[in-house]
Amino acid sequence: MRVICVKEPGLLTTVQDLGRKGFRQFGMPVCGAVDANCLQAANILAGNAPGEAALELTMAGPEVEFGFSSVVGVTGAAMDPRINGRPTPMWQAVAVYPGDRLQFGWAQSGCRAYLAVAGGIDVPSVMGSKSTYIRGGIGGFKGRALVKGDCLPVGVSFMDPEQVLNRRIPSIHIPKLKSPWTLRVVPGPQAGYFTADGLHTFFRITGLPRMPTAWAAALKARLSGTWPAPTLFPMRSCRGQYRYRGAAVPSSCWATVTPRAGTPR
Amino acid sequence: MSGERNNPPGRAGYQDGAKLLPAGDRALVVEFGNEIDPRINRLVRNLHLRILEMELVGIEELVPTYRSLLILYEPAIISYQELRQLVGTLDKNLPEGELSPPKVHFVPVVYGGPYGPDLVDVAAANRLTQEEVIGIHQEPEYMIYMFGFAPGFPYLGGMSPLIAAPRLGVPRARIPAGSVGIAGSQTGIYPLESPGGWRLIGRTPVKPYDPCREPQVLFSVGEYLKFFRITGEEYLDIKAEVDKGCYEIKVASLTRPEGVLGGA
Repeated sequence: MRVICVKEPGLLTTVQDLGRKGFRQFGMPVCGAVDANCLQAANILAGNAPGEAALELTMAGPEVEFGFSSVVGVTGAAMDPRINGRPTPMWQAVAVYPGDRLQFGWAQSGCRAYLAVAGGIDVPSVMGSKSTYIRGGIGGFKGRALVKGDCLPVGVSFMDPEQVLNRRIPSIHIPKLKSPWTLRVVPGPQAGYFTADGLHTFFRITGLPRMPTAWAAALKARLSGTWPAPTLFPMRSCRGQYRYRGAAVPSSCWATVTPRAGTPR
Repeated sequence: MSGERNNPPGRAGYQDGAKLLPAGDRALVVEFGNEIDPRINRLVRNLHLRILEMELVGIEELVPTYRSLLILYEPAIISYQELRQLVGTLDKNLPEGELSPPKVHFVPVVYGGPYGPDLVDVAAANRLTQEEVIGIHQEPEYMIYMFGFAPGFPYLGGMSPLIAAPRLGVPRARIPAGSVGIAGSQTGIYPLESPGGWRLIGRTPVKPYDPCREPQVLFSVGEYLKFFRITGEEYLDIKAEVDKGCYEIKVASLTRPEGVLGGA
């Protein structure tokens, strides 16, 4: 059987590809892998098209059992992947056999890892994508995160496994997951709604290395923007935007951001 | 660029035409004004259509809003500077002119009671009876300026300020799909069950959004919605038809001239 069965689901494991594009004008979020580069790298390792559907693992990965022989690629956050209890390398193609169990632990660095299987996760395409949109209940496997007992169908690969098994991602293309991160910021279309002092504070505060939670808390009281909330109309949000709500804290938009919000950015 | 231009007649909002603003490193916002105004929105739609017609490579998606157009582009194919220049040129030559005659979709709504738990509050806040609120709400044709918040959630213009009501202080965690609500001077439909803070005055059995249907979203930007009142029994009948996929929403052409806000 060309299936992989979920023995333990992990914290939040979903089927993702590069997202549902072209429907933002109807209010549809794009979804798709948060880390599109790592998704594509995993697919290349497994001999798939780079944008094929794969599993996105969040914080703590799942344990899955393979019902057939295949080739997999694991990229992204280091979650201590093991096959039948033995550590298995990331960033290179790995063979799996019927009955093999691939298990992941907690992320030791990074947050999301990707597991691609030769042939791709064979779920129906909804509006041009296999990405899971959890709130909308569509895409991926039954429109939701994986749970124990799910058996995911896997597509047929036309690649020669012997050739694919040589594949590895060169180390210069492997992201170095070490803090502090440098985040580059383009002032947003409504940057003019904030005072110069407010923006200065944003860049100064966020210019200091800090943990994300402390970073948010530190900004809460100190980002002194003037934002005429009643005259602010909904504008489009796109990935990576920092939004600021009057009494809240700046937050960054991610893959499932719906394409509108009435908060300055 | 557009800033060097004089103020042409018929331009609402900005004196000097559109503002071009970067929205990150792969999107550009073209902002035409600062108000909800059909003239501004027509400029948005005009630019949207013009760029679509050009079938440019490197443009990933175009997303119209009340008063701006978001252009998502692939910077490896078209640069920010090239895109800015192109949009600036297009913006100077935008026709004020004719878009195809807009459709009006007739949306059945059961008002009040368990379907619209906030109708009482909306009436009280405006010193009206519930019947008056319903009458005022279903009177205009509402223009669809944009979609957002959730797939198929229409942002509508043209609601009477007589029935405006503030958002709930604490949003509801779960709002049933099809709920029709008011927030400030806006009205809209929740296309799927979601959290939300709008005041709910009724519910429609039709599904503005259904991922298993073609088209997935029933309405388009620039079209109009008109609500009409149904009873609770009719709601159940129509809902059964919708679930079987055989309810046809009534559609007509807009009869009044565009650009005039109804009901206000």
